[in-house]
Amino acid sequence: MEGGFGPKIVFEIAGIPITETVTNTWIIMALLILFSFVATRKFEYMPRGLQNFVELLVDGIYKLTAQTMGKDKIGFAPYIGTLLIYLVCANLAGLFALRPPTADVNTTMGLALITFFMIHFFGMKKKGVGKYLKGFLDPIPIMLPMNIISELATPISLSFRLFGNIVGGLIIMSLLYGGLAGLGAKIGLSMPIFQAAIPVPLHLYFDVFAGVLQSFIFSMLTMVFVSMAMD
Amino acid sequence: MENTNFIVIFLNWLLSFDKKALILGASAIGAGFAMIAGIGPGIGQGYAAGKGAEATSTNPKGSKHSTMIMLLGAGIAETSGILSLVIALILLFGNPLIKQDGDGLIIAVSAIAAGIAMIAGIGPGIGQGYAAGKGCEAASMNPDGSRPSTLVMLLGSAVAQTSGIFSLVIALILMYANPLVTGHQSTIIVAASTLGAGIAMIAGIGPGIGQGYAAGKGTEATGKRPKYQSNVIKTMILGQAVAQTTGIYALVISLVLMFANPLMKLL
Repeated sequence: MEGGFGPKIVFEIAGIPITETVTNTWIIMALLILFSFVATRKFEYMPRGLQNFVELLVDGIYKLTAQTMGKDKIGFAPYIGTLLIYLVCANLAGLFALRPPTADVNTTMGLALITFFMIHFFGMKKKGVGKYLKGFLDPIPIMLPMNIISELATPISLSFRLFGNIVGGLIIMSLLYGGLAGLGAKIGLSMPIFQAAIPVPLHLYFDVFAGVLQSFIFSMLTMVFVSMAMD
Repeated sequence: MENTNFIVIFLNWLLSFDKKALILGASAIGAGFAMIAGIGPGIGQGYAAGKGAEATSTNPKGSKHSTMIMLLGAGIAETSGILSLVIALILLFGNPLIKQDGDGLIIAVSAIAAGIAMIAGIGPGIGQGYAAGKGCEAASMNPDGSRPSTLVMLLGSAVAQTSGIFSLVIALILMYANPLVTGHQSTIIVAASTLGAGIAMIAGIGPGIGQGYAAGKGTEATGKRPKYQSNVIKTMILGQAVAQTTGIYALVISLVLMFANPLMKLL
């Protein structure tokens, strides 16, 4: 998206622009790899400290997957867990003055396309190609074009649901910070006092509430769509 | 010779203004239109609040819990209002249309159409509010089943948002990448098509309310019998997918008007 609110280009490699989205994704990836490396050293039979937290997290993800997709599809838990943890970190990046990678439609569309291909690949694998293709003629054959369009609409709505929420918060917050800075300058304050406290409740709503909720919804919808395609 | 056709007079009057002034004026109208979507979250959250009050009297001990669920649901129901606010703010503060080359009238109409498209937010707002109310009710009736029923509420509400998201997509296309702005033969048809692309999206009100109703009933059903959560989810999502159909028709028409307009060939 060009215009005032798009991600900035940090540098270029051989003419390919590398935006904030990409560099911030790298930062999150590095932190997550570091975390999983540190957290999985020295596992003991009786968990202590960090191991408690990690076991709780992994256990919760497995339980959620089993509850939503059914016990037979527990194999999806590692992917769902990765997706959920990455999305939560990405959406909360705004709290640390990083532009959330999910505020770029390229990121969310990429993730939604993974879901899209999972839906159709596992649908075909489980049902067989013939039965899978026949599903497009339900309930009556004349619905074929509608069924195809509604399948294509799934990744669009999935990606823009996340993107719209995060970029919406980003735009509102950046306008608020700009407005507060302007207000401070007008009164003649040299210290950014207004920016210190006033945005906090809005950060709670847009970054923490919307960010965590949308990560959860994205993962849940992925699970529901994939398991529905397989049944 | 005086032209007596009202539309021609009106268009000539519009074209007598500076291009930039025309776009800015239209952006103001568009921002206003976008905010009409606020009707939805208003009604929906009011319903949720009412159900919250009812839940408190039914089960005073669990009132803290049902209030939390009400606030969670109301927070989701706010989404379409916020998306509209974002479109309005982009039109007011970061307007991408001013810098665009092309016919002033068409760019101006794009701003209005982007605003009109967002009116669809009324639907998801009402629907998600209904789901939030039902979630609140379910939590007070059967506190043990509140976890699965809240989950169904979240999922159902997320699906009910779909038509609002389609509107957002159309509004963003209209503002950032309207294919009609350059390379056209007839200004009036292109301008009207752009406006039509925005108006078509209003249909999203229907799926939003309908899917929200499904989400609410799914939440209620799960609250009563948490054991059947996954069956309820499947039926709910299937029904919601069918309810989405008219919204998808609107999206298709809107995209056809912008990217593959058959009316241009008739000239």
